[in-house]
Amino acid sequence: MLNIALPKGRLGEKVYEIFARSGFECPEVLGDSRKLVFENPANGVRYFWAKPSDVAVYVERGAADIGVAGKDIIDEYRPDVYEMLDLGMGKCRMCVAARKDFRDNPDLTLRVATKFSHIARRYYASVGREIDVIHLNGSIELAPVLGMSDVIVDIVETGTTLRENGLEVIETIMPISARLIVNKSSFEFKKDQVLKVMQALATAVEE
Amino acid sequence: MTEKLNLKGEERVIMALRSLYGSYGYRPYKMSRFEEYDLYAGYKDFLVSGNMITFTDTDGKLMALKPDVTLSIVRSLKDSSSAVSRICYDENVYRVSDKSGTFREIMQAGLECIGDIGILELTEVAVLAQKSLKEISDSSMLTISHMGIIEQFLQGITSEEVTEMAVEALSARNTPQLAKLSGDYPQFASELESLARLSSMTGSNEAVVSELRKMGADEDLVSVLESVVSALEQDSVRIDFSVLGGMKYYNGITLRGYVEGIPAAVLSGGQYDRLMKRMGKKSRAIGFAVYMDPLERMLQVRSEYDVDIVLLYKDDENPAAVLKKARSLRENGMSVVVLRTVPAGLRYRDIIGGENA
Repeated sequence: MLNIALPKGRLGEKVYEIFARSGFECPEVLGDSRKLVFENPANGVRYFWAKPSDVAVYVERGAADIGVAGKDIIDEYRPDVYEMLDLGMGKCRMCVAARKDFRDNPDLTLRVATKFSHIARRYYASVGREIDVIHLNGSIELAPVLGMSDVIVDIVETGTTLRENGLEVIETIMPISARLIVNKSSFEFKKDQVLKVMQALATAVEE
Repeated sequence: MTEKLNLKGEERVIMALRSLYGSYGYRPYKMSRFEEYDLYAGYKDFLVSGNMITFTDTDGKLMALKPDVTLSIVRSLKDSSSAVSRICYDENVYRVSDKSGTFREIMQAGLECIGDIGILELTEVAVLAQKSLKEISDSSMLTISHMGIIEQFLQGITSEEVTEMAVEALSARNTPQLAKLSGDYPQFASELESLARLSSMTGSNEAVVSELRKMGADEDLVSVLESVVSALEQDSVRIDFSVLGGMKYYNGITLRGYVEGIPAAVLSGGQYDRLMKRMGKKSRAIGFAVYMDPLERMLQVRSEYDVDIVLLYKDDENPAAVLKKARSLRENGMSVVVLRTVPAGLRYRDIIGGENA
């Protein structure tokens, strides 16, 4: 039985479609049921929906053999898993953004509001800037608007939210997309199934 | 016998490993629970985590609860480039766990083979690693690589930054990232493409070896790898270049072991001639450790009952008679607890005495 953790939401549904087309369907998955776990013993798969930021945890701990997680989550939590495929979906960027009238003063410690504390710390360490990380769990844009932080480090897809709040991107840290992650131990014991899924996804991605 | 001794699963594994290593002439090594901090401070990046629990001894020396066994063993052995010492251990070490960020006591068993190491010793250690995994579970996999081969392909990459990214991608089996890097850094394209090939090898061991030859990997190194792998049981060993040790310390054969049902590696080790050199020793060395803490859950043998028999007694009963009765039941191989009342939640097979008498 291959356990697959999918991120709740559009991306997860899109990924499931590829799995289904590749011979790993489990029709119940897209139904309206309140069930958490969906199984199709006929083709040996079990799916479950997880909060996108938790997928890496399920895979690292072996509750899921494989999963789909954003590069942002992988880079933030650094789970001990294999990252075997770039699905080229859910594309966005990890950016530094600030108010349009922001002028950096390198003399001061930069106040950075973010959900991605590790990524922010690593990025500013790489450019040698001293920062004060303000960890928030949502509505990051609020922090510079209220003057609580100088900049934010966050995911930017279209930039609409930023613009509506008078913010703009001042630096791109890295591009983000969805990745196929695999538990290291599962890879040894379910290698054939994992490679089959990977192959199918790779083909679908190329199309 | 294990049933009679009522051993926990990991205790059984430790006993089995100790007798396995002993049968290959490995001598057990018992060390002090703490050592001088200086021993570890110079090799922090060899340790799984650089943090240690330290305290000041009565004479003012800074001491550390040992975070690692290998360094203590290497230091205590007489340096010899002509003899071979075979040492095994089962010890607790104290490390910061990656995930919780707090200190944990971790039980580990393992061995070190130090001195005039040749292909025979390398092979023997790999065989013992495979056998160790089989003591834990019928379904296990030893993954093995050769740092020398990886380094051969890393050599041409003169940028430290690119090397770091390449190593990270290789250990995450991230072939697409290696391919992307070779596009981003065309000056290292041929090296990065070779690494991408190493990363995507998933075929049989023979196929991997022949592909390595085709790629122009150093024949001496390939033949070492081939010869070590061929001595192992083929259904549970796999050449895998995502198995990387720290390059400052590890050089040749690198090992990592998995058992089915445990999400992370339970065995890890390799050849660490470079550490020996940095510690000023002439000898070469290889070793591995088996981590017991992830096994706890898998190996737990939980019986349905807390105790076989509850023997109830009343205050007016003769204690000697009650204890005698309990003893005779125990002599029949049952576990017996003598109680006045049964506590809530206690699970027992049978109850004797009291109202039921």
